[in-house]
Amino acid sequence: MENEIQQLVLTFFNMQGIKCKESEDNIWTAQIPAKDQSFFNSGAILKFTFNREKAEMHRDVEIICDGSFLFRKIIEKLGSTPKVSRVFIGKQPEIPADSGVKSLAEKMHYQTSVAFNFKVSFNYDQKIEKLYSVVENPSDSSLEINDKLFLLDLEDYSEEPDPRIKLEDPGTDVLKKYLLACQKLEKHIQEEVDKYKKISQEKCQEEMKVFDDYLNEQKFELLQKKENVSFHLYFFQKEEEIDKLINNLDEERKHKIKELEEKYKVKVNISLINVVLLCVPVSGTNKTVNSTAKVIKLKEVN
Amino acid sequence: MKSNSLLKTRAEKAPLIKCESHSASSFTFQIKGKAFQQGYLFMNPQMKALFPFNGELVSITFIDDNEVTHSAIYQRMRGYMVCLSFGEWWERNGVKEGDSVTIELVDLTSKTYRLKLNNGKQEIVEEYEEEVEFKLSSDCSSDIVYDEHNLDVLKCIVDKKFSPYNETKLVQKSHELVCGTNTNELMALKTCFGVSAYEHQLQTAHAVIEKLNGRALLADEVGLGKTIEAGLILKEYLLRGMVKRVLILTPASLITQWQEELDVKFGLKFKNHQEINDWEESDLVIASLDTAKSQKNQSNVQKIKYDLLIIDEAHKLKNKKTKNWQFVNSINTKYLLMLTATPIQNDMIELFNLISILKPGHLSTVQKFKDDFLAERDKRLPKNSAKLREMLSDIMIRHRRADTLIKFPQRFVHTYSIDLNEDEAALYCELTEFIRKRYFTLPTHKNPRGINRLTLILLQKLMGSSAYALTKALEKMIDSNFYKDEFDESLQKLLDMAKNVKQSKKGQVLMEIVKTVKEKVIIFTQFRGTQEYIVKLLEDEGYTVSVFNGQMSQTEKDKAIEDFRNNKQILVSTESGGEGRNLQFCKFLVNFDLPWNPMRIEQRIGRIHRLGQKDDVHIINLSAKDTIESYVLELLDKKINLFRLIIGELEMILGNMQTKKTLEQIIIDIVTMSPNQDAMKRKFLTLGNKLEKALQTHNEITKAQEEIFNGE
Repeated sequence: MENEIQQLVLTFFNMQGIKCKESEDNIWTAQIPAKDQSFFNSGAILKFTFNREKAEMHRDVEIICDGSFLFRKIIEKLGSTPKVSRVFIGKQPEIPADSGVKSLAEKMHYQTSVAFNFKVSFNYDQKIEKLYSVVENPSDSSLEINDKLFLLDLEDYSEEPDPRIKLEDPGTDVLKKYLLACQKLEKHIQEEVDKYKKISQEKCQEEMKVFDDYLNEQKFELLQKKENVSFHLYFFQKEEEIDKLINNLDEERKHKIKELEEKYKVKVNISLINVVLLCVPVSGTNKTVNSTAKVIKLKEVN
Repeated sequence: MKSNSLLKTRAEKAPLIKCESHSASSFTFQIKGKAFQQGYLFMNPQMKALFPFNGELVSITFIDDNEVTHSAIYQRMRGYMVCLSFGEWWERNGVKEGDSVTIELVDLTSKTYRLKLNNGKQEIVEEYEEEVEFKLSSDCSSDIVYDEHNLDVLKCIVDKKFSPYNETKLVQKSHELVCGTNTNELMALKTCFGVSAYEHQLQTAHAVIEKLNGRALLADEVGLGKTIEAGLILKEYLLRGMVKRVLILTPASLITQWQEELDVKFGLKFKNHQEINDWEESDLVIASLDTAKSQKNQSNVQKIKYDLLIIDEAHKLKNKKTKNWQFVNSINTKYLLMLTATPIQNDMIELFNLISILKPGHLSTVQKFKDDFLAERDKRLPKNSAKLREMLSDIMIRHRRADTLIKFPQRFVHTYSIDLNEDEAALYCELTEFIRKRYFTLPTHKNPRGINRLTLILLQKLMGSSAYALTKALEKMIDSNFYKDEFDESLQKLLDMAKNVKQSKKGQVLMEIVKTVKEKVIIFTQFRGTQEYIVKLLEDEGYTVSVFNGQMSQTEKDKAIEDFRNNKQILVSTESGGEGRNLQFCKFLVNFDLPWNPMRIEQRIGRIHRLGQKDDVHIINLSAKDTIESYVLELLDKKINLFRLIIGELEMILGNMQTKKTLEQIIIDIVTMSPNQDAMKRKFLTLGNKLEKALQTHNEITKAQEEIFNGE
């Protein structure tokens, strides 16, 4: 985990164009441009370490580890950076010069399939986060859902299209596919949502019952008291006082029920992490012809 | 560009709507073509005016005549809307091509519109009678919410802003790392400093988060680190994203200590009530209960929905009829932690009242509670303690020192009562007399304490520390030219006397102590002047000395501590608390002077005598005979055993004194308001008796807790 965090953070700095180097054993120094200093809550130089003991000894050195301030900021920043990649897989078949056949490029176009990566947060009394991907099957455009993120398991891909092959705008279709993916995802997680709802409702009802009994008993005690005040010299005043107390109980009930409902309400937040557009050259109009998409696999991410 | 033209051609070839009428809030049109059925609504400029949003992609909600919600994405630049359930609506209502449809604006803020069929088949086709399950991105949906950020990602596709796959992968990796965190582990521990969390503290944090649903009474015996437990829970909730808005209510005297501990140990920057303008704007706030419940702030605090509320010294909420209780009970919070080592002080009902805030009804009603648990002979004792303990286990966590198996080292106190040198004693008398006189001739009747009160007290304290520190302060005062006439003359006289002090008796004793100890020693003083003096004294004798004070930068402080740990024998420090640094490798502490605020003394002791110290520690007090410091020392040592108290116990004892003034304020009053030495001694004696009584009450309470919670 520590190594993974280190790798991620250093790549992040690199991505942001921030230079950093290991200035002494396990202590890193990064030169933070003025525009980023408030984000990092630092000056021009940010010293950080991935080693807890180092951080304990050097309080001016920021610790980066699971849960640390800086790590959270970086994750936050990465999470809020919209990322979409378009990769081109497969090449136009090479045709020997002496074969007498012209390039197939004219008859080919890129067929785009899409992979959505989602993070779903289930918030109730607890918070559970899960990752899913919804990937389009290029052969029949159906969407498949997976309980892990889509990761392109190919070395051989390009980020630039073959200029000879036609490339269509995927915009309109992708919006619709996104909605379909969300639909699919919602159905997929429904069981889980119901499970959390049930747990939450049970806890909420349990607490609500205890509270209700408590208020009812209190009310009952007050009403009994009210019956007995007729012997009191200023009984009307006493009665008013008791009525006020009963009203207060009702107010307390409203307040408490609202608080409990808020606490145990299951809230699900779906966030789109990124999208990968996979473009495969196909010939003619038949989408299944010559598709190299079969080699695109989901890599196990654990 | 090419694709744009492609789209235009497509729209032109098949016009999909035909406008019938329109106004600022509605648009009626005829549906043409198949696009609507397939989930697309292509618009003309008049229709676009009905959707005056800035974003390129916008989430829109439609509600149809059957109150079914349809969620759509509006692509503003290209003027079309995508909605999967338009087709279902079409089928359900038996819409035909050419039918008239109206879109009406319902609420611009929530981007909600009504979708009406004007002349189509009105009856609902049977097979679609059941509710459409699919809902998306709608404010009406209470369960599932889509992140606003999702549209930004999609916008990248529309705008063809593609990133290198490595970057996309990195974003993904960050989510995997965060989601892969084992939720059984406390993340908070990894980022805390100076916190060696003990088993009982971890147990508490786990239990509160996993079993008690975040509402608990933390009632560990004093000295077991309730603040650390609360800090761990707080940090864990923050890291897990379950808590954002936190309010800590604590006695005013502990605000700074909480603030410092949360900052240094947990990296949490809380603002105190003086640092905020608007309670609503600040997520992490610490305040005194009195400030929060004041007329000025009360309604603001009650309006806010807090995620976590922490109440320190919660026994102050023992009485249901008080404003304190009613105010805390009215604060809206999801999670609630109440901290006290003494949930019961005088009466079992106090415990009932505390639990009633946490989980009303858990112990039933007052009457039932009295019937079931209250023994008639003593209000502090339950009659059915086993059952009560069982019920409390769902809401209260209490550890005893004996249960934790933590070895608490002994504390040995050595007090050196020192006769001042002749010149020192003369200076002391002259200065004390000067202060007393000046105090009684301060400027106006309305402001009898005047502006010089603090300065006078400071001079008295400086004298109690060292003549060297006093000399430096007097020089500054005279150089400032602020003090004139007779006052200036008196100051000059005092300065001359201070300069003539050749040798400090306390300094000599200190040197003897250091010579005997031959181990690492921390010497505490309140003043920089005295610090300089001690350092010079020690270095002249060849000792290795590390210096630590508030004017040093963080790096310098780190270096000072590291030097002390690895190379130097002595640390001379002016700062007693808050640094949270691990100094347990040292077991000798010298109080060169004594703060009048006993909490500061406790903090000094806490630097070495705390959880984690393995050896017995020695506290050495230097006290000059017949000085105010010697009276203060006697008061604290003899009357309440300050130097033997467990850290945290002092606050509880002082809490029993039934006064709003701090002990330091009381001491200052005694010093400045006594007309002569005898009167001062008498007042100190009375104060001592009060302290003794407070200690006695504390002991009785402690004994009662034992009987209730442990049946012993």
